[in-house]
Amino acid sequence: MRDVTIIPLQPGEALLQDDHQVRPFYWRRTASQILLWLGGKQYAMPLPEAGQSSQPTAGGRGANRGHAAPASDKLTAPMPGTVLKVLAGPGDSVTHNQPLIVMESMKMELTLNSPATGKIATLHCQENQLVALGELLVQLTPEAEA
Amino acid sequence: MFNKILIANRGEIACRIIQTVQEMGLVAVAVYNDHDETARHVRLADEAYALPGTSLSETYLNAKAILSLCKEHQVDAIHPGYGFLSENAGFARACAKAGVAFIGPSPDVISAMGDKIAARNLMHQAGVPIVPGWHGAADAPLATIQREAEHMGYPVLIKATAGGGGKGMRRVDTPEALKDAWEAASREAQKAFGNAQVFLEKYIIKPRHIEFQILADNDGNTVHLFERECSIQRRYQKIIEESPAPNLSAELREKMGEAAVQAARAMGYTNAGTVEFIVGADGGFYFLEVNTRLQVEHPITELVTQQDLVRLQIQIAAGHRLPFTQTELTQSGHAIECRLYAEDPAQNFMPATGTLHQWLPPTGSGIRLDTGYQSGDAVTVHFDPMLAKLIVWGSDRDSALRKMQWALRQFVVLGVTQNLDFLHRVLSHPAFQEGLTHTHFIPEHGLDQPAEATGETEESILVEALLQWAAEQPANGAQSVTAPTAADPATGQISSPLSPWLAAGGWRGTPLSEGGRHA
Repeated sequence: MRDVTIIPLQPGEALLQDDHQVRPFYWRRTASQILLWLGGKQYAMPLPEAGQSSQPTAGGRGANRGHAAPASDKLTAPMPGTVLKVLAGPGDSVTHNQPLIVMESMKMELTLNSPATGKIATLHCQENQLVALGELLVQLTPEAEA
Repeated sequence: MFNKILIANRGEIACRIIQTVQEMGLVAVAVYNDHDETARHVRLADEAYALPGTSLSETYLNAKAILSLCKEHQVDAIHPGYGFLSENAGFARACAKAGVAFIGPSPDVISAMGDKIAARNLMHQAGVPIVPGWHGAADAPLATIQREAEHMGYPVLIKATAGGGGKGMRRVDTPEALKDAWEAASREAQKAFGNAQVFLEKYIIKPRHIEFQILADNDGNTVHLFERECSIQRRYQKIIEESPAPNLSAELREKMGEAAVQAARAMGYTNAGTVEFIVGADGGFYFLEVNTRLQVEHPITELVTQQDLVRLQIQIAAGHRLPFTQTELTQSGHAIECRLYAEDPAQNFMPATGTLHQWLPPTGSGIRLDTGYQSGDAVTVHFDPMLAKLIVWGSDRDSALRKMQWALRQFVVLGVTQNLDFLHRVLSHPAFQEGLTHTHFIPEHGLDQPAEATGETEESILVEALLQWAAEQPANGAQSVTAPTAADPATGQISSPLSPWLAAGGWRGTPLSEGGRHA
């Protein structure tokens, strides 16, 4: 064990002192996590509340039972941005990797493909809608269940 | 000389131009849209005027509104920066018509070089080597495009005719993927440049991207300010640039410089521009395109030539002669630029947003930072994800490299996921240190894959304790925590009364692979 001392300077900024070194570190609490900078590296720790809510719940009832690597039944936004195009509607049959959504962020276009073969259960976005990172865009009913 | 210069841009480039304008004793005028009312370029400018609205077309791309501001506020000249209206010949013409100097080449040159197909034909005629397998099929129907692609052989590249900066660019490996890629590239081109026209090009494997800075005055004096090596890219977007280019022989440098000047003369170029070349593994070089504007990576040229390119641009636009000849220009030392992007390297470089809660750029000898952001600023989806350009100068490549590695480790950013660690990883790669760059460097060396997590170290346990401490703030006054120095060697178990998350592995670190003092 060794002793280190934290010397707070102002909110979000402090010094870390041990017997041979004094180093600054910075932190910030956001809605979901603690961010930390120390020695040129950044770290993040989810807060307990966020940790619980972000636990992904299992897919549909009995979904993919027995599969080693079940295909996802959800398409979520991999980046914050605008939905440019919705290429399929509720009830449509889709195949794995079929383009479903075209998104745009920071003038970069990205096509989102279906994570599974099956039917579109519900559509959670529309064209020109601004979406957040991780927001649910399409709920699928995978083929095994359909 | 002009009295008042309007900068028709935003972000870091607007800030950089404002600095030179003010250093020259001239009045710097900024414009801004509804998202940018208090942006850094607005805070720096002597005068700032609103372009009401949020879309680019009604604001930074609104030539009419910008020119009417010029008239209203007695602006002499417009500096367009890069992007937006910088390579828009129609805008340059409208400036001339309105009696406002456009700081850049003539509208005819912009339009000739803006049409990438016509540019290649012109260069070919002028004896400048062009990329093999090029076919001009600008407005051809899909069937023709497919035939052309088959003819030159896959992979092919789809590029925006009015483009640059990787926007609207797509690599296509199979005929089946051509149609979708063509349409997506076209939509992206329409969005970014207001012109949906795209074209095909043969894709060269393992190419290097080396470009030459050119300057020409209105009296026909044309020089180059040496090269910039821009091969380190991800998704066709440059992220690390340096000058001089490593592993480029003096002989090839001279040949390419001459070709760049020859290209500039062939088109009657004036003001600052960049001639981009692809250099093959065999040392053959091919004309890629001319960017008729200031480049993002211009600072590295400024550092090795000790010239202010924006000042020279303004002087040339005001009718001054170049203050030097080719033989008076030298490359001194070595400069490297790293582009700091708001993106997550662990999530396939997806753009990230947030608030810059902490933003403490490094300072010190030989370090320059060009940015449009300040601490507390929000990073939104509305603009390009580039946060800043970190530029260093050293007496040789090795010292510049070490300085950049040092500076990246000093840069404090909290609140927005960015690529600082990723840049450090690239710079630390042995192949980069040897200067073995090419445009597929990142994927070839697996650098686009997340870094392997290092095991528990003294530092990681300390971090664990600090995260836990921070979670329990606010508190004032000195406090003491005790952190275990390492895992129990007998059991491999780590125990810490401070951290309930430790056992669950609930924290996510971005590990430092090399150079850590405590690693």
